[in-house]
Amino acid sequence: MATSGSKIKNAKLVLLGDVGTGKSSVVLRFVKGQFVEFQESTIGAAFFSQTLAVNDETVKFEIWDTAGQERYHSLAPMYYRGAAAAVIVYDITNPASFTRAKKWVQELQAQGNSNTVMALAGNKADMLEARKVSTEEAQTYAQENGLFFMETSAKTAINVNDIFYEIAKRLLVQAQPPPNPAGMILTDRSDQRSATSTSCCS
Amino acid sequence: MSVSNLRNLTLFSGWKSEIPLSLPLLLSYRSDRKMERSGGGGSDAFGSSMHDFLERMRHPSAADLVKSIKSFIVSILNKDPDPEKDSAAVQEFLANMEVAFRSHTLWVGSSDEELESAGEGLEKYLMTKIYNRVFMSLPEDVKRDEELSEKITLIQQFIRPEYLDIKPTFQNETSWLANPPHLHSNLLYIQRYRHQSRMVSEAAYFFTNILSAEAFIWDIDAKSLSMDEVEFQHNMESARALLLGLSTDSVSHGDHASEATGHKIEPSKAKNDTNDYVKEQSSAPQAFDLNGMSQRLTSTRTVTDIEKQGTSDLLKEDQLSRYFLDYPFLYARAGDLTIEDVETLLSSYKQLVLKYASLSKGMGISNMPLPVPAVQGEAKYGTGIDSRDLAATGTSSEKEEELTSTDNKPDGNMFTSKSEDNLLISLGEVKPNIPADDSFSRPVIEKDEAFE
Repeated sequence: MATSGSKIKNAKLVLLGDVGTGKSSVVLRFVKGQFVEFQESTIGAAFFSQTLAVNDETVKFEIWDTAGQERYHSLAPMYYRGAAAAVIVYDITNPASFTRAKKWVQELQAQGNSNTVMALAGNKADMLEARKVSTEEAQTYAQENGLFFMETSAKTAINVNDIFYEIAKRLLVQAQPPPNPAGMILTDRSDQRSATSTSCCS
Repeated sequence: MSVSNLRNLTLFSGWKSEIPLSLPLLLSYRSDRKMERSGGGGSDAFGSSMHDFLERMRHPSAADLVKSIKSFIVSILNKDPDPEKDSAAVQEFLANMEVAFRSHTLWVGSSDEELESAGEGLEKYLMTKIYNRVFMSLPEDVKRDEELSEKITLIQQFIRPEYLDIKPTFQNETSWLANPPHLHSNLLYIQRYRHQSRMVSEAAYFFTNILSAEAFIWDIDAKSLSMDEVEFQHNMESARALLLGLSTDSVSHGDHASEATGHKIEPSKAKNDTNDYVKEQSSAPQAFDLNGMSQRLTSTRTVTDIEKQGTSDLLKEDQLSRYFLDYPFLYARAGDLTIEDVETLLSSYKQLVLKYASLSKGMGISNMPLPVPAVQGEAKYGTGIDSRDLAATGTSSEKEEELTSTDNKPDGNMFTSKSEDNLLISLGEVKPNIPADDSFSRPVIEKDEAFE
């Protein structure tokens, strides 16, 4: 759809990861600049949007948060289907959550779109004294699997904006050559909403 | 039970409440749409898009568009339903027409928003015309509706919000007792016919939520409820026994039921004291037990009393005629009934009792009169209030406001006959070959409801 004015790339981004790793906290930090110590677990509505300017282009993330509980795992494909980007979150103090993250990566590689930009986020990076997953281990894993990796802290905001910014950059690079018409989610749409509006429903 | 029975006894006509995961989502969805359309004409933006579209279609220069639309509608109505082909055709038609609008003299100088609104108007108009043909068009979809509804009914007997990590704010019992009719068909309908260019972003997210809720219900098992396998099986069996108990017992006791009450419920799981109670008072008052929850219903109101109250309640509603269509026995007299009605009536009654019991349980009401068939309208009336209460829970004040204004609309579930008539006048006679009253027996998620 043609639109006058600056173009906005809409990008669906899905958050995956074990329960309690801080997916929602990362989003809330990114979208609202807030942190809640005892964030309730995500059940139901968790849609956010946030725009990021990268050089002279704008990416509007449509962020689909998901419930981390195992009971809801089988529903995940409905959520990551068609995602331009996925952020897989684990908790650096919880090795099981890292194992779970690796399973998400595998699942996405097997089921998802190969164009999906995948980021691995080792969250709770402020809790260094409780660390159980080393940076090196995660870094190595990320490299081997073509993900980019950052340790983040929704609490202190470390690397939170950075990880989204990096995703936006990669999406824009990817969008430079005419994208594969079969599977790319980046779309140009006219958008009447204000550029930095956020919306949250949880 | 047959589809027609289900239709006749629909307690939850329309989408006044949703299954647990979905309700808050749809609400926030609505308010979002409103924000998106700020300046686009108040709370009924969709209605105005339809109106605007029709106005334009009356213009002489719209003749070519009107012709295309009419012939497309005829083409859909004149062939056997094939959801796959039909939805592809509709999607393509909508997309092509939107392109056509852009270059049409009628929309010269129009903003993107106006063109978007025109597209919405066309979609609404088109679907109003063909929905009888494309909604619930396959017997297998209808069968799935019944299966899903039964599964929901079973699970509702024992599920608790805690089993699903539902936040306390969303823990409103009433939402557990929702069993929207033809849920599966409604979701398919949206999936197939909502113009895909608009089923994106937040709309897509919320729709995915409700689809995933459906998928979750289909696959629900002990594991997905963090429940012991044995316990889960036991719960399912008890729930089934309750349903079966309703049918066998009410049949076997039917002959000594008094004329005033007609039926008696004595589920297999009824406790001894409840049984005694029933035996002692075999005529007017009745009791039943719902999966361990003993409800003693002691009212001695007669059918006439209930009918009276039901009438006065219903008269407050301005779409009275609808209740006659939804509940054909509501004001029937004994002499009006034929032998053939008995089966339908009995089936209606069982469904009603089940839903009533579930609702009463959810509302924490322990002393309500046992429903008799004539109370359908009343129960329905109460349900509307519940969903409003429910909606207020766990949403921001802004969303409450939105909901309130939406709820005040006289009726979001039925087609507004006025606009339909206008349409027929403006676009000529394009009538589906479907009995006119059919739409009344098919609760459908209307575009207003779904996408505003």
